[in-house]
Amino acid sequence: MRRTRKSGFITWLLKPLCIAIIPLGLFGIVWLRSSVTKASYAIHDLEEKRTSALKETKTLLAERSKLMAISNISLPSEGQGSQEKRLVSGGYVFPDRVKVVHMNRTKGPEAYKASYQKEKAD
Amino acid sequence: MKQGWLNQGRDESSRKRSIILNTIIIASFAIVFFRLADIMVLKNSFYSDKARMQQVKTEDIQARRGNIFDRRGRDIAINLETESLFCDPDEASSNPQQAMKQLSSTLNIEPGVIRAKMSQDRRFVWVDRKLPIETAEKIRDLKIKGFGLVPESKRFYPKGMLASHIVGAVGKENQPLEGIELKYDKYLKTSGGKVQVARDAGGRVLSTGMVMETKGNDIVLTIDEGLQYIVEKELDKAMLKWRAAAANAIMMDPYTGEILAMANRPAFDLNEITRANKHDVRNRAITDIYEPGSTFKIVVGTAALEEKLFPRTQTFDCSRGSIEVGGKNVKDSHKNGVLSFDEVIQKSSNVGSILIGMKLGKERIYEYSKRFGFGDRTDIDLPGEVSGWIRKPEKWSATSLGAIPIGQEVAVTPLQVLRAYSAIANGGHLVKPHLVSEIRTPEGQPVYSFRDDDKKRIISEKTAAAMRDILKKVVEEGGTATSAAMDGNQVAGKTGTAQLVDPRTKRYSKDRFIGSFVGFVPADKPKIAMIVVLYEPKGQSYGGVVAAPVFKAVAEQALSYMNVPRDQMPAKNLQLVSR
Repeated sequence: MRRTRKSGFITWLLKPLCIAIIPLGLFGIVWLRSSVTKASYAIHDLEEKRTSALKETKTLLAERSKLMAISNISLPSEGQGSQEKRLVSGGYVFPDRVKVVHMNRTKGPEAYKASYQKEKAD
Repeated sequence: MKQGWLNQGRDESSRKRSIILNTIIIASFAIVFFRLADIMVLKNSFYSDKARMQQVKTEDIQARRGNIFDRRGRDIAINLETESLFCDPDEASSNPQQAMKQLSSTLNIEPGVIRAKMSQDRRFVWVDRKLPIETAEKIRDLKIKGFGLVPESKRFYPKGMLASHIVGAVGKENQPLEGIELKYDKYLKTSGGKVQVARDAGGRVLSTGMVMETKGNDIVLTIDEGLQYIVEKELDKAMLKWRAAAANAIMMDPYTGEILAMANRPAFDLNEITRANKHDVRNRAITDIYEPGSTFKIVVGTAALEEKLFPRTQTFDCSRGSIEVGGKNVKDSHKNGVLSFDEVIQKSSNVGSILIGMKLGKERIYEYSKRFGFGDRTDIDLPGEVSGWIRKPEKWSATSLGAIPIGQEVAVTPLQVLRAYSAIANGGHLVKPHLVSEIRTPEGQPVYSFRDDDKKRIISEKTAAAMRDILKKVVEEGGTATSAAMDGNQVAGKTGTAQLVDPRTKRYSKDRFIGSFVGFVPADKPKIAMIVVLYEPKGQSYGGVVAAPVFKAVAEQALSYMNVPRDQMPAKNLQLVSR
C-alpha cells in the first residue's frame, strides 16, 4: 500500500483537529450551559420588572376605579331647575325623561339592506 | 570504560527519579480519586443537601382573592399589592436606636412601639403590615439590618361605603368577615403553595418559568353601582330629614329576583371595617325582623281574591272606626265609613282588613302567608338571613285574628315583604332573590351562573293583576301613598306603619314607629320593585309620609338611569333616543 503525499497531509491535519475537538467540545458545552444560566438570570430579572410593573398597574387601576366611582363624580346640573335637571354619572348623560321618546327598533329590512339584496338578485 | 560506568550510574539515578516521580503522580491522582469518591459517592447526600441549602430557595406562590364586579363589570372589590415589614430582633439588635429612628419617621409609628417589637424574644415579628409600595421602597432603601419585607395583597374596595352590607369585607389576614366575601369565600380564595428556585452566591434567582401568583374566581354581582348609589344617596337624605335610627332599602327585578341595590343605614367604610361599630355592620334588610303593619294586608287581600270570597265591589262597614276581636279593640287611623274591597287596601283600613281576615279564617291566612314566603328564609346568597316567624293557626290567641291580617303578631324581614310584592308585580311567581349572577375563573371561564328553574306560582295571573290594580289606587288620590306618585309612570304599592314595642312597658309604643313603603314601577310592566323602611323617624311616622317620597325620588332617577320609557309619551318637545 502506497501512501500519497495528499493523504499524509490530511492525517497530519486531522490528528491535531481530533485532539483539539475534545477540549473545544467540552468548552462549548460549558459555555452553552453558562449562557443558558445567564439567560435564566436575565429572564428572572425581567420577571421581577414585570411583577413590579403589574403591581403598579394594579395600584393605578384601583386609583382609577376609586376616581370613577359614581359617588365621586359631581352632579353639576342637579338642582338647577327641574326642567334642566340632569343626572351625570359614569360618563353618561341622562336627559330629562319628559323630553325622551323611546323608539322601537325598525321591523323588517332596512333601506340599505333592501337595496343591497335587490342588487344581488339582479 | 570509565565514561561508560558514569553513564550507567546516571541512567540508574534517572530511572529511580522517574519511578519516584511517577509514584508521586499516581499517588496524588489516587488521593484525588479517593477524595472525589468520598465526596461524590460516600458523602453524596451530605454535600447535596448542603449545596441545595445554599443554592435553592423556597418562595411562596402568592395567593390572591378573586375580584368582585357589579353587573356592568365595574370594580367593587379588588386586590392591591403591598409589602409587610418584619424584623428578626436578634439580628436587629446591633444598632436599635438608629433603626427605631429611621423606621418611626418613615412609618409614622411611635419609636416605643417599634422598640417593643424589637425587644420580643422571637425570631420573627411583624412591624407593620400591608404598606404601600412607595413606603416599602423607602424602607428597602434604608437597608436596616434585621428587617425585611414580604409581599402581601390587600383587599381594596374602590367605592368605599357603597354596597358595604352586600360586599362584606375581609380582615387583616384576608379572612372573610361579612357579606359576599364570606358567603362565596370558597370561590374567591385560592391556595398559594410553594416553589423552589435556584439562586447564585449573590442571591440572584434563576427563572423557573412558573407563574408566581394564583388568583381565585371572580364574582359578578347583580347589583348596579349606579342604582346602588341612587338608593344610598336618597336613603341618606331621608335619614337626615327624619332623624331616623336606621333605614334600609332594597331594589329588585321582580321577574328574576336579581337584587339591583340593597342599602342600609347606618353603614360603614369597607376599607375601615375594623373601626366600624358592630351594629352598623349588620345587614338589617335580612337580619332584622319587624312587624310589617299594613304592608302585610296584601296577604288577606290576595287570599280573598284568589279564594273568590268577595267580588271587588263588595262593601265593608268601617263607619265605627274600630272593631273588637277577642276583647281587644282595633282602631282605624281615622273613620272611613263604608268601603269597597279596593278601598280597604287603598285607605289601609284595619277594620276592613280584619273583616276580610275573619271571613278567610286562620287556616287560609296562615296558608297564604306561607305561600308568600313569610316565616321562611328567602335563601338569598348572603350570610345571616333570618326566617322571621308566623305562628301556626293552632297557636293563635283570641286576638290573633284581629292582629295578623293587619301585620301584627308576625315578624318579617324587608326582603320577605319585597319578595311578596314582587310576586304580585310579576303575575304570581315567587322568585328567589339573589346577588350573584355569575362566577368565573380568572381566565373568564364560567364556573357558576344563576338559574331559577323552579319558579313557584303562588297566585293566579288574574288575582295578581287585580291586586296590581288595587295597589295602583293606593298611590292615587284618596290612597295613603300619594307622595309616591311619579310623573310619567304609574306606581303600585302599599304603605306600612308599624308600632314598636316599648321594652319597658311591653306594650306598643306611642312614639316609636317603623314607616315603610313597598311597591313597583311601571305598575303594569314593572322594571323595579322596591321597599323602603325607616326605623323610628322623628316628627312623622306614617310610611306614606316618610318612606313613600324616598321611593319616588329613587324610582325617578332609577328609571332614567335604566332608560325606561314613560307610560304616556308627551306629544311635543320630543327628544329621540334610540335603544
